Amino acid sequence: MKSLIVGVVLAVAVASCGGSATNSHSASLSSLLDRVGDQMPASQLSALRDLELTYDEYERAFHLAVQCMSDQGLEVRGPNSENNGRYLTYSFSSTDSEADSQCFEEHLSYVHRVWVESQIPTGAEADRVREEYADCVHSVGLDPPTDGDLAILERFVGESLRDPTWGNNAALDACIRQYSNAIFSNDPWHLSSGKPWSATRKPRSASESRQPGKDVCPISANFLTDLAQLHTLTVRHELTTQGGRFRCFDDSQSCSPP
Amino acid sequence: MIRRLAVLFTTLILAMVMIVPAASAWSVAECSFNGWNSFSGNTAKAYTGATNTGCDAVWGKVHYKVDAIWDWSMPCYTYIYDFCIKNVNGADDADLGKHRALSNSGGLSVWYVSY
Repeated sequence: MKSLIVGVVLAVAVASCGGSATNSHSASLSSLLDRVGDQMPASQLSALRDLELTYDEYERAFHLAVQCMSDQGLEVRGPNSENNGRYLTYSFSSTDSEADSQCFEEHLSYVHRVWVESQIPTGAEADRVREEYADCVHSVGLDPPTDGDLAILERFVGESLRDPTWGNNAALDACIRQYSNAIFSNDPWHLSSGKPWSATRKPRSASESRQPGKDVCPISANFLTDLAQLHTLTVRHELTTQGGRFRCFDDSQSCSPP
Repeated sequence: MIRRLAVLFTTLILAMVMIVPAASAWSVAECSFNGWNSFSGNTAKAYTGATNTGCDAVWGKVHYKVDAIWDWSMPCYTYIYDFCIKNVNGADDADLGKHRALSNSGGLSVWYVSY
């Protein structure tokens, strides 16, 4: 089943999950969603408003973004997979490095961020992934730190890449593809299989490793605040400037403010 | 002896300079971050990282060439981790990386180009 439900777990998820934190979390979340909903492009809002992001929604957002870029005359390639299919990606040819920005902000900016966060393991799974990741890195000849969390290991691997010896090491790259959520490796478009989800490790789903109500939180209040700030700063969405809430949440329709 | 040491020292410095990719550091609001990009073998990379706790998120993208076509990668993004690396395998060349960060207070930097 391709509709992998991803619990939208965000930056402060681990710290704020459970107990009274969750209650206050949810309370502020509701009001924040109202605010973000006014600012968020309709297509992304439709994917996130239920506080869950499915793989289908993630993939759909990519297709919409790529189609949008193509419609604007941009030579764009994708969606293709990276990190063993846990993420989608695209690339584009242009002298303007920001030629993708409008479509990215319209269809992907929020969704992509949420998806990235949802793929980062937490709790016991984070410990397991860290151990496997460290073993993999060690097996290729590096000496990763024995203590510290997953972020420290990611930092170690990232720093190692700066050394040309390791920066072009296929074995280390295989470890990165398998485990990393900070280092994103993809092949150029012409080397891609054209099957974006030929993954050996499927994207994480909420039911795969997390206990609902325990270490799965809805979209965090802080994160939504950040999203709102980011969006305010970066996105000039014509509809939102007209001050209305979207009535249409279906990507297939033409949305307009009331 | 001194001349040999001087030559050795110079060679060592040159070697160090040659293996260290282009790097830059800059700030936006209370967020300081750095970036580098490199090309080795057939791998193009752009690294964007926070250097203090004032950074909320970072993005990075890399400009690379394959089959005579220059492409921009999609930006990498990180939130919990304080860095991200965009890694493109199979590239023929790379010329620069672009980096951007969001500070905790919401200040968003312009894209910063490092060569």
